[in-house]
Amino acid sequence: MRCSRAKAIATLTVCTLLGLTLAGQHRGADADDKSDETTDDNASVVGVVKFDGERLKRKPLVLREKGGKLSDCHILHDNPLLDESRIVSAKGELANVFIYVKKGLKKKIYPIPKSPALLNQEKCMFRPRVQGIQVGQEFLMRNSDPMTHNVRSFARRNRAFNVAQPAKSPDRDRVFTRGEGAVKLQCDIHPWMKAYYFVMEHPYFAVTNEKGQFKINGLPTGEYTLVAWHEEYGEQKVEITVAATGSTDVGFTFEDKAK
Amino acid sequence: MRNLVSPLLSITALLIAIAVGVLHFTSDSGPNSASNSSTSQTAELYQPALEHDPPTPQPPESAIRDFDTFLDRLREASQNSVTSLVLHKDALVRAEQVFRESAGVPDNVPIEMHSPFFTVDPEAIFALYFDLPTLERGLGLFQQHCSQCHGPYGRGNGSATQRWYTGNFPRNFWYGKFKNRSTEYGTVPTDGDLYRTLTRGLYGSTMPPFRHLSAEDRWSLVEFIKSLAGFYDDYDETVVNRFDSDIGNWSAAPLEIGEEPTVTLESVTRGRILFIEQGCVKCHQSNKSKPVGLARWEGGFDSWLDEMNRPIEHSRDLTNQVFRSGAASSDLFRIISGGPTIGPMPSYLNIAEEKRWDLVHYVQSVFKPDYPQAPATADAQANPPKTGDDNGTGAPGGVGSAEK
Ligand code: HEC
Ligand code: HEC
Repeated sequence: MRCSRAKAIATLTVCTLLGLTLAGQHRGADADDKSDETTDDNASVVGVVKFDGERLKRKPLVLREKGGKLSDCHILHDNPLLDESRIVSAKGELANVFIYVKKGLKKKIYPIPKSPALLNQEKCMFRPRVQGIQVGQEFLMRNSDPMTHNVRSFARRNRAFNVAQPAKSPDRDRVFTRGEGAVKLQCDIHPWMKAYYFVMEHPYFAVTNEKGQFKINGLPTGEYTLVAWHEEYGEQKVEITVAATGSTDVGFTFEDKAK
Repeated sequence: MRNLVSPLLSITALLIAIAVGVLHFTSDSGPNSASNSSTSQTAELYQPALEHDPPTPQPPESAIRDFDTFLDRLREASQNSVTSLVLHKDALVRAEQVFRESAGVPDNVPIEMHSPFFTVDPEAIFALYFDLPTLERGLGLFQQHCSQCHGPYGRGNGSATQRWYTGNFPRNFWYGKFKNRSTEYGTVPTDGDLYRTLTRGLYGSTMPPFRHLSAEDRWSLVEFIKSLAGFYDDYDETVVNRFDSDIGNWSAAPLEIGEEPTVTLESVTRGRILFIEQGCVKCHQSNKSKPVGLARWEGGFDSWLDEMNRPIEHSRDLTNQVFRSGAASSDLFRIISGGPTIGPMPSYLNIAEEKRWDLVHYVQSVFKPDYPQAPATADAQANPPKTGDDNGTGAPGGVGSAEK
């Protein structure tokens, strides 16, 4: 039991459309789909994540190092880099939301993806910003820039790390041994560089694209708790029932915490 | 449900002990006065001829080795309200209530009472710390000597910190993160490391040396500090201790420190080039002619934070020989290899050992006038960095990722 650990309680409304099948839908086709490895493809879970509230203008990032010196990074960009912490489309769809199955799966060992998960340091940004990595999967950190970066992880369950990576140095790699939620990554030399990863014990997760879409394939029939996480807007949970055929449509709507 | 130790009595005892500890604290040891005085201390203090690897302690005679005796001892201790080491899970709620009432904290204000001792049951504690008497002794000493800075629950928020606005804040022991380690980045220190910290203090910070306490007392404090490194794992919804090598993956054997190569002009020069190539200069730069110094700039960034998200305003000034965990070659080698784990400085274990020694020599050459001095002209060789060679051998496909 845990007492009064200061935890922001997100008072967010969850709009769920359970078990609604959409005929002939193409949504989620380009959403991050990590479930190729599973053979079970009885059904899929699809949906769109929305943001209900004032769409904030994305601010240009200030490319300064600690101390205020203008960073070399600005030479890599003709246009100012925009803040990526809240990417909301004109239609109010929210990108970079991590969706995963939290409860309901049977304990089982899932095959480890053969291809590594990659974190690229590209033009002084981490790419991708949000990703899921499976336990045991290789995680590569690559520096494609002409300057030194460091990657610091704030892991709590897995061992935290902080590696420096001068230009052209070989990829760094790591393997995580335990599942873990939302771990922040940061470059301390270029403090605007941030990314997040989840270490998953199964392949049932996805990240929303710019249209807020996601798709999780191959979930066996059953009842699950699905969680949607966003770096600024917090976490939402919903109970879903996955039927043997068709797709389960799930919607999440985030609101501004300030309200 | 297991027999509970009386939380009320225990908490009261704890609060009294804290009050005593606070009174005991003298106000002239504030951070600024302490750090000023430490810079003016003699150089000898920074490299005391001290045990680098203190002997592994043996459990004292009083260690309890069977669980029933352990439980009896707990009950007895709580009845005499000698100490308040253990509360069972359910007691936490009541403990919090007592604390709220006594401290006048309104119901809607969250307070943090979590600690492994409040949330883990006796069996779990026994598995880790059958050595109850040592812990009790550690707790007493902690309240007397440490709680003013490190807080009554070891949360790094003691009364003395309220007047602090800058510099390094006292450690929060619940996170199990420590700077002064002989182990890899992100892992817990060895007992010997903690003992060394207590014996030496952390130079340039307010953390004083406790050499005046007996060796046994220091060992009890080490045990007690470890017991605080509990961590609520929301993933498993359990509390685990970071020092428990069975559960976490946070413990590791100490890194090997090989023999130090001889200091030569070449090694110092290579070190200087590496200092630029490896990005040290980004965080340790000053406008002095050498690429080392103090990067002290106030405010503006929210990204250099310690384990409790309190600001770290500057990196270390490498020119004045005042290093938290010592300025001896082995100390510097350790911090460069393992990183401080707290704050932004990376671990450089992925570069070859000779290169880490080169860096050590370079850093030392800055404050040791009798060392060879690298020519500033060498800097040109570092920029732009040479291709892919950070594995120390110059050969492709080396050990660039050896730090798993
Ligand atoms: C006057 C304030 C003060 C007192 C008293 C004090 N400490 Fe500290 N302690 C600090 C500060 C400040 C730090 C962090 C310094 C830093 O991070 O540079 C620290 C850090 C530590 C660390 C962490 C070292 C590391 O490797 O990160 C340990 C362990 C520690 N203290 C133990 C103790 C113990 C045990 C006592 C009592 C016997 C004690 N301290 C008393 C201020 C204090
Ligand atoms: C991302 C920024 C960053 C980089 C890169 C960096 N450091 Fe540091 N370094 C720091 C900070 C911040 C501290 C202070 C740590 C603390 O709070 O004790 C520090 C502390 C130190 C210390 C003192 C440790 C002690 O015991 O007090 C040494 C020595 C050091 N750095 C050397 C280096 C060397 C050598 C390199 C390059 C190989 C390097 N640093 C790279 C930020 C950095």
